[in-house]
Amino acid sequence: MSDTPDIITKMIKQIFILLLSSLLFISCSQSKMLTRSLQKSKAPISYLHDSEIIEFDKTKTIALGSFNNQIIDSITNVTVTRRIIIPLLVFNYFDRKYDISLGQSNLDQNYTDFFKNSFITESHRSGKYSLVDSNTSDYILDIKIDSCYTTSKYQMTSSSLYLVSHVITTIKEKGFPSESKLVLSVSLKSNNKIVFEKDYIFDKIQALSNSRSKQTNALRAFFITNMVESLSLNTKECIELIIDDINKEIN
Amino acid sequence: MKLIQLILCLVLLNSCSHSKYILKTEQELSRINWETTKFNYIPILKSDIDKSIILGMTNVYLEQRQLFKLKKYLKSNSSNSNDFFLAKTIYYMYKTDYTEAQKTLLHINDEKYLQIKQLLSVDLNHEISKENDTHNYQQTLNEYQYLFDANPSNTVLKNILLTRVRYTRYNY
Repeated sequence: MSDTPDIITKMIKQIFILLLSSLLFISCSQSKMLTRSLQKSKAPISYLHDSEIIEFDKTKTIALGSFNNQIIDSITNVTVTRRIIIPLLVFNYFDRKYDISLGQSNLDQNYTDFFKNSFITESHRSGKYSLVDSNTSDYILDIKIDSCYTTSKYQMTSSSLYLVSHVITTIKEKGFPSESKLVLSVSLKSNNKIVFEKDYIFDKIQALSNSRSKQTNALRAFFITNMVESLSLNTKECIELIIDDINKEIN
Repeated sequence: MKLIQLILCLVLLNSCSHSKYILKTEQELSRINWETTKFNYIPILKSDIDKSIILGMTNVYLEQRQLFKLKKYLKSNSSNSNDFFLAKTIYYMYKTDYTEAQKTLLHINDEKYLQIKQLLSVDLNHEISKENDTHNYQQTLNEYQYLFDANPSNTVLKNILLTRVRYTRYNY
């Protein structure tokens, strides 16, 4: 008879461990589903060039020199930063927060090509120089992107209430504003001499207007688009400033 | 019968309040917070509204969100004028009947409405291609870019186009 409390305690322990491990398993599988879902979304990165078109002062010529490739990760990474699980047998609560890092897979075009093409387009618009292919140009421009990150946070909370034969489950998801950081160095050479050299750091936080949505898939697509928009507009500002600096330097 | 009318009115009011395109005079547009707005504005000159009864009435009905009354008004004031076709195009856009709006837009040939015609044409192409699942972001962007480059000093249009590009990006 004295063994009975021991057996009950052991059983409760076993049930608790089983419950906790199953909840952990559910939590992990939901994280994997989120990762897959976010990686699936694609958003366009091109932007509207709204700078003033300069048609004069284009006597100097610049050729694009080196340009590094593979700047951003190939796929979007999802890392769990916080996981709260409250298992109370009849009521379970999960709260997970993720760090999201944007990858190439979510962009509708290769980032390096996009940067290069946007730079060429913007140079034709607002550059006080002509961009040429030949090696006989007045200047050679080297652009080295040291790092390019677009990060954000995403939160998933779910609660389940077990009522005899019914389960009431509520799932809420929330996206946070995204931050794009671009670190690059630019050098302009004339006759193999550096005439202009500068390191740039661009930071852009893009507000997320629709941070909560009843439709999970719509929110996730919206969230990824917000990250891509952040990167797109940060690149726009970066290119415009570089061209502005070059204009000042060569004229 | 009254109940049916009430339901119909509610449905119409609902469809009107959810219109993605909003008619505004350039004066009103100068007070818009472009950073936060979610709407695609259709710009119109205050002088055009003042000079044209049909555009003035259209503006009043749309402000009051009375699409049903606007429909009746346009039906009883049908004409071949550019103002009428512009009013009707905008009415169809509020109704989200983009195909009819596109057909009506083609009848506008007055030079003074050239810019608004070009803008609405790109909008409608985008909306219709979205409905047909053939939308192409780059193509729409190029068309807005062309419109911007044709009117580089128009700051209101610049803000309208930046908002349009944002809308297109999120509805890709």
